[in-house]
Amino acid sequence: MSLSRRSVLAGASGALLASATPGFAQSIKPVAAGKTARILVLTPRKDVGDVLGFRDFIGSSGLAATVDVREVPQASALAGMLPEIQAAKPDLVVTVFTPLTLAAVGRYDDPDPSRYLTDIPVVFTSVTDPVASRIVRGLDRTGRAVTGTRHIAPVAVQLKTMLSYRRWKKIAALYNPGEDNMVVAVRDLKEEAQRQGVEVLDSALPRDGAGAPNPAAIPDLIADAARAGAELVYIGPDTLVASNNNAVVAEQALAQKLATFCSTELPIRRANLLMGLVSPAVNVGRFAGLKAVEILSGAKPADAVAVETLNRFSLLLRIGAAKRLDLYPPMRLLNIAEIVQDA
Amino acid sequence: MKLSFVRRLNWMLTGVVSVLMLVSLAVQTTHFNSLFRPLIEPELARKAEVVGAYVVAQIDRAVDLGIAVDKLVGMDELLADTLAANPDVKYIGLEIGGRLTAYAGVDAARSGERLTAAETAAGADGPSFIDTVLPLESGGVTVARLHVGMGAGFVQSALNEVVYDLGSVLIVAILLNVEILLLVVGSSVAAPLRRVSAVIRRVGEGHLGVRVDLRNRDEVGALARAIDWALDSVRHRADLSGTEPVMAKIGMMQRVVELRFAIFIFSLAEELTRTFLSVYIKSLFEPVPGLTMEMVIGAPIALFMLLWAVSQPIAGSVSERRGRRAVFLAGALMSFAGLVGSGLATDLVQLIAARCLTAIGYASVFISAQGFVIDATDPKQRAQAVAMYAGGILSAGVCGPAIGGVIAGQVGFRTTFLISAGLALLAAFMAWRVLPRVPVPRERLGRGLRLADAVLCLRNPRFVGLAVFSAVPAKLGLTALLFFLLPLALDDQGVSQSWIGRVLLLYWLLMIFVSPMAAKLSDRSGQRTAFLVAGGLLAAAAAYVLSVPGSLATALGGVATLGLAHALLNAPQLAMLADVCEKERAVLGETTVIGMFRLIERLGSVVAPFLAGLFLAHYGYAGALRGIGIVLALCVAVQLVLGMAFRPPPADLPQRTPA
Repeated sequence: MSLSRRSVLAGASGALLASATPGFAQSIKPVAAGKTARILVLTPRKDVGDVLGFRDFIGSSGLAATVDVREVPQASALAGMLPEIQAAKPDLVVTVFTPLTLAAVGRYDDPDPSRYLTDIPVVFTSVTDPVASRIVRGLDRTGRAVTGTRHIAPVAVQLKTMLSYRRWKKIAALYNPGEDNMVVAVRDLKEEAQRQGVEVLDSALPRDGAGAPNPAAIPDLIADAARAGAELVYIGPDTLVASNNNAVVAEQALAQKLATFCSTELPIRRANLLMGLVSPAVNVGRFAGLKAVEILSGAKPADAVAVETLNRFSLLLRIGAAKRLDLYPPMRLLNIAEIVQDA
Repeated sequence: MKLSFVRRLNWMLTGVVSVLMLVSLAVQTTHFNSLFRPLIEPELARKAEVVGAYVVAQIDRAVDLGIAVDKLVGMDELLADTLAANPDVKYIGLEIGGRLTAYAGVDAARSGERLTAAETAAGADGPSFIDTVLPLESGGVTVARLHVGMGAGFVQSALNEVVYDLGSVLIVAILLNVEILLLVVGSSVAAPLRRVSAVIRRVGEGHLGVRVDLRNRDEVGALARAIDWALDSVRHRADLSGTEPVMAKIGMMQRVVELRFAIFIFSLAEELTRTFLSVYIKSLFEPVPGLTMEMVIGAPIALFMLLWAVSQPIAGSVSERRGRRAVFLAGALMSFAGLVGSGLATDLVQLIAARCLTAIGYASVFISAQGFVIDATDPKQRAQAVAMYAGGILSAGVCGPAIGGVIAGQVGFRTTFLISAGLALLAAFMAWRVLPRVPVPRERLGRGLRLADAVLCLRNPRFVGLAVFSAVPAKLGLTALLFFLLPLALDDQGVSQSWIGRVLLLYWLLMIFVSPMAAKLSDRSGQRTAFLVAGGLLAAAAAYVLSVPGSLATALGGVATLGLAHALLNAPQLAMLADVCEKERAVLGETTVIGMFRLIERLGSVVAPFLAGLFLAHYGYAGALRGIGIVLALCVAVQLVLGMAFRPPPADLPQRTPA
C-alpha cells in the first residue's frame, strides 16, 4: 500500500514520453527553450510535505526553474497579493490545499480576471475534491489552465480499511458543515457505509450565534457519539477539525475509548489518532511537480493535464493509541502498515 | 482369421510383463519406506521451519511493537494466508500454554483447542503429520509455540501415484503387446502359414501347378521355398506344365494386418489429446460477443465432428477414383499439419482452423483405410478383416488417454500435440510402405450416399427410432460427457491429467471387454430392444452419476457405467438395423444403409458440444451433466414409443427369420 519513489518516477517518465506533441490551441504559452522558468508556490506553511516533494521533483527533473515559496497563512489575505503576483508574471503558480487554491483561481464558472489568476497556469496540490469545490469542470478535462493532484483515497477504500481493522457497526463522522468538500465527503461515506451495512452517525459541528461552526463543541460531540453507540470517529480532509483541532479529537476519543480514523497525513502524525489511510504529502507534492514539468516543458497545455490521485496509499497505525484502547490491529494490517510511534 | 498363435503368445508375454511389473512395484514400495522416507522427511521438516520462521518473524514484529502474544488479533487469517501460499503444509497453529489460540489447516490434526497431531507423534503405524515446533520468545522466556504440520501421507500418496501409473502402463502394455504381436506374428507367421496350408490342400486336390511364392527371409520363408522346390521338382518329373488357375496373392491379408498397426498409431495420435483437448480450448478462449464462453469452447469440437462426418463420404468417393493410398497419405499429412497447428495455435481461430484440417485428415485416413480393407478381402473374410482393423482403433482408444494424460502432465499440452503430429507422420510412413501403389481391382460394391437414400430410410419410423433416438444419443453422450464436459469438470476440480487419462481409459476397457459378451448375449436371446433400452437408460444414469458432486470415485463410476451402456448398445444396434431395414437393404444395398446409419449417428457428436456448452453456461457442470442425462433418457422414451407404435405385424414373424 505504500508508495515507492521508484513507482512515482517510473510514472513520470512514462507520462513524459507519452505526450511529446505540444498543443497549439492554448492562450498560455510554455516557457521558451533555454529560458529559466519561474515558479511561484503559495502555501499556508513552508514546511508542508507537498512543498518539499514539489521542490525535490523540480530539482531532479532537469528543468531549468526557480521555485519561489511564499507563505500565505490566511487564504483571505491572498486577494491583496494578487496584483503584485500578476505583475511579476511567473510562468506557473502552485497552490497548496483547497482554500488557497480557491482564493487563487476562483470557480471555473465565475472567472474574474480582476479577482483571480486567469492568465497564468496553476497547479494545485492536496485538494480534496476540485470538482465539488468547482475549481475545475472535470478531472480529465479541467476546462481551464488549472490542474493538480488530490490526496484523499476513494471513500470505498477508506471504509474498507476501517472495516479491516474491526467490523465496526457504527461510525461517527465528525466534520465542519461549513466546508463544502466535507459535506460531499460525508455524504459519500454514508452511501458507501449503507452498502456495507454500517451505520454512520452525523456529528456535524454546531454553529455558534454568528453562524460560524464552533470547534469548542468537539469534546461534547464525541461524548455524545460514544453514548449513541459509535465505535469509531472518522475525520476527513477537514481544515477546522482535522488540521486545527486534531489533538482535541484524539484525546477526547481516547478518553471515551473510541477508535479514530483520519484520511490525511498530518493529523495522525501529530496527534494520538489510531489510524489513517493517506497519500504521503511528499508524494502528492512530487506528483504536482510532474504536472508542472509537463506544462512548463510544453509537452501538454495546462488544460489538457488531468487532475489525478496517487493510486497507492499508506496505512498509518499508531500503536500507542491501540494500546490505550486495548484494541490491537489485525496481523494482516500490521504487516502492511507504517507504524507511527508516540513521540 | 483365427489368431490362436497370437493369443497364446500374448498371454505368455503379458504374464511375464505383469510379473516383472509387480516385482518392480514391490521393490519400489519397500524402498520407499526404507530408503526414500528417511530422505524426504527431514526435507519436509526443513520446509516447515522456513514457513514457520516467516510467521514467527511477523509475530515477533508485533511483539516488539508492544503487543502481547495473547493480544494478537487476526492470527487465524494470517495463518490461513500462509497456508494458502504453501499448499503442501497441512496445518499451522499457534499454541499458548497448551491451548491453540489460532489455527489454520485440516481438521484432522486438532481436537478443539488441543493440537492432537503434535501429541500422537509416536503412533503405531507412523504419524499422519510431521509436526515442527518453533518457539516464540519474549525476554528470554518462551511465551508461545508455533506448530507447522506437513502431511506424512505425502510419501504414501507419491507411492500410490506410482502404483496407479504402473497399473495404467500394464493395461497399455497388454494392448501394445497385442498390436505388435498381430503385426509381427500375423504378417510373418500366421498369414504365410495359412497360405502354405492352402497351397498344400490344393496340391492334395491334384493341382500341382500352384506355388507358395513367399518372399519372407525367415524360417517360414525357407519352408515355403522348400515346398515350392518340392512342387517344382515333382512337376518337372511328372512333366506337367499345364496352366493352373492362379491363386489369390498372399500379399493382401498381410497388408491388412500391417495396416491395422498404422491405423492404431494414427488413432493414437488423436487419442493422446483426448484428456485435455477441451481444457486446452478453454485456455485459448477469447470472448465472442453474443455467445457464452461455454458455447465458444464447444465450437472447435463440434466443428471437428461436423467436418469429419461431412468429409468422410466425400473422401470415400475420392479414394475410389484416385486410389486409397493417395487419399490415406494426403489425409495423414493433413492431420500432421493440423496437429502441429493445434499445438502452435495462439488463439481460438487458429486452433479451430487447425482442428478443421485435422478432421478432414482423419476422415480421409479412416475411410480410405476401411476402403482398402474392403477392396483387399473377399466377402467371406471381409467381416473379420473389418473387425480386426476396427480393433486397432479401439486399442488406441484405451492406450491414448492413459499415455496422453501422463505425457501432457509431464511436458504440457502443446508438446503433446507435437508428439501426436509425429505419430500421424509415422502412420503416413507406414501406409506409404504398406498400401499398394497400384489400386486393387475391385468390383463396385455400392454407390455414394444420396439425399434420396436418406429420405427412403427416414420414411421408416423404426429406422428413425433406431438411428435418431438410439445411435445419435449414444454418440451425443460419448462426445458431450466423455470428450467435453468430464475433462473440463475434472480439470476444474484440480484433478491431474494422469487421472483424467485413467478415468477415460475405463470407458474403452469396458467397451473392449463387454462388447463381445453383449453381442453374444443379445444374439442368443434375440432381445435387441431390451438391450437398446437398457443401454440407453444406463447411459442416462451414467450422466447422473457423473453429476453427483464428489471425488474421482463418482467420475470412475459414471464412466464405467457409460462404457457398460455403450458396450450393450454396440452390437444390438447393427443387428437391429438389419431387422428394421429389410426393405431398404433390398433397394439400396447393405453398405448404403449402414453408411446412412453411420452418417446420421455422427450428428450426435456434432450436436453434443453445443448442447453441452449451452447447458454448462446455464446450469454449471453438475447441471450440464444432468441435462445431458435427461436428454438421453428422453431419447430412450421416444425410441420405445416409436418401436411400439410401428411394431411389425406379428403375422410376418413365422415366415421370415431374422438374418
